[in-house]
Amino acid sequence: MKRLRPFPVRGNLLVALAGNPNGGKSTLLRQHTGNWPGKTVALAWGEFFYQGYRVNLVDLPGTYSLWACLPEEEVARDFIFSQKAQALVIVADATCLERSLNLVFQIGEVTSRSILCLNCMDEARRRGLIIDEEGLSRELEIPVVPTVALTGEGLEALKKAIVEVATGRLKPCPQKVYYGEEVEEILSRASSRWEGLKALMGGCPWRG
Amino acid sequence: MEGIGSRHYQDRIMAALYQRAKTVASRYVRTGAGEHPLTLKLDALLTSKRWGYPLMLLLLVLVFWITLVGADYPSGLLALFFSWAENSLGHLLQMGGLPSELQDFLISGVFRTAAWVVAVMLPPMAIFFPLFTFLEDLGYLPRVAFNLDNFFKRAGAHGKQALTMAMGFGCNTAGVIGCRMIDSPWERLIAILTNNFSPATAAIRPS
Repeated sequence: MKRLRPFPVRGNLLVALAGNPNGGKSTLLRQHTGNWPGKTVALAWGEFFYQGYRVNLVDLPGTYSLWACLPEEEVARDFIFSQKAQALVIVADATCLERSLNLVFQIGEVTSRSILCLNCMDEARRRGLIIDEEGLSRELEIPVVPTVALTGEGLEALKKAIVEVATGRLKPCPQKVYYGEEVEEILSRASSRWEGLKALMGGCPWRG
Repeated sequence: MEGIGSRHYQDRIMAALYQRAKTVASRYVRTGAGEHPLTLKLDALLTSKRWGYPLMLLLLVLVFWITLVGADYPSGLLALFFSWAENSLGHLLQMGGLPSELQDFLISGVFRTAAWVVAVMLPPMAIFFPLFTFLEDLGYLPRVAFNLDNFFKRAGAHGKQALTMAMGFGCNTAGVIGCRMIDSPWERLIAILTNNFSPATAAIRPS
């Protein structure tokens, strides 16, 4: 029997995929949307249905840092700053988690509606890396979902987490990084912590 | 006290972020028994403090040696072929009864120059660029940029310039065009202007 395209009875959600380049964002997007017949995948768009919600996924260009200056990284940054998305999935390569955590902390300063997706778990397991997802989730205070985008492992859990965060049923409160007394003192005087950080970081090094 | 947006605060914030990332990662990621792919080991070796530079120099010298020595053989063959072609063409024109001024212009001028350029330039480029592409596809060139970033930074340039300059050893046109991969306009300009300090192998080849 042909599966019918479900009707979004409970509303639309906008969710963005962010993360380092080559972390598997696009593979994940294909997996998510590929599960449904009649999918609409334009350039970097996709959608899936879960629990009656239509979730629109935006695939952001890869970025290492919100303070970056490359044009494609600015696209990702501006989208994250705009707070348009109801949830933000940070796709991290589990084999080099440390590199992605930098971005996780930065995004944590902008929005609390984030999910950490540990992708490439198969490769990490093959290399003998043991990642304590629950501990990590407790420490970062955001949901952490291990996935293998290529095979689709963990996607159901990721969809669940996305919908829970996007609808506000689950409220992550990402832990802020302590930048040292001097910086924290300035941040406490700024109109908001985030505005303070933006001012301190300035623009690109060569743009002054 | 330094101004808002200064290097001082940027460094503080970035240092705190990286420190925290390191702490968290080391706390929740354990390395058990597993395969350690060859690529990881190679990566560690090629960018290590002790072996990084010697290996890099060795590889680059090897590339140059193959290019310079190896290019002589096809170069000699090409020169032989062109001198034969020059003679035959000369005979042909003579039989055609062209005025000798025009013959000289066509044979000793146009044909000989073109033949020399091809015989001298083509072989080193045909050897250097495939080798360069091979290193790029292996992923070694970004590691060279990583190794040299410190030196280039001290000179006020960008580490990626190591690549455009290495490319310049093949041909500076390609090198200068490659400078577009440097993101900052100022450093890109430096790279474009100083790229000619790496001479093309075809030019430095003893002939």
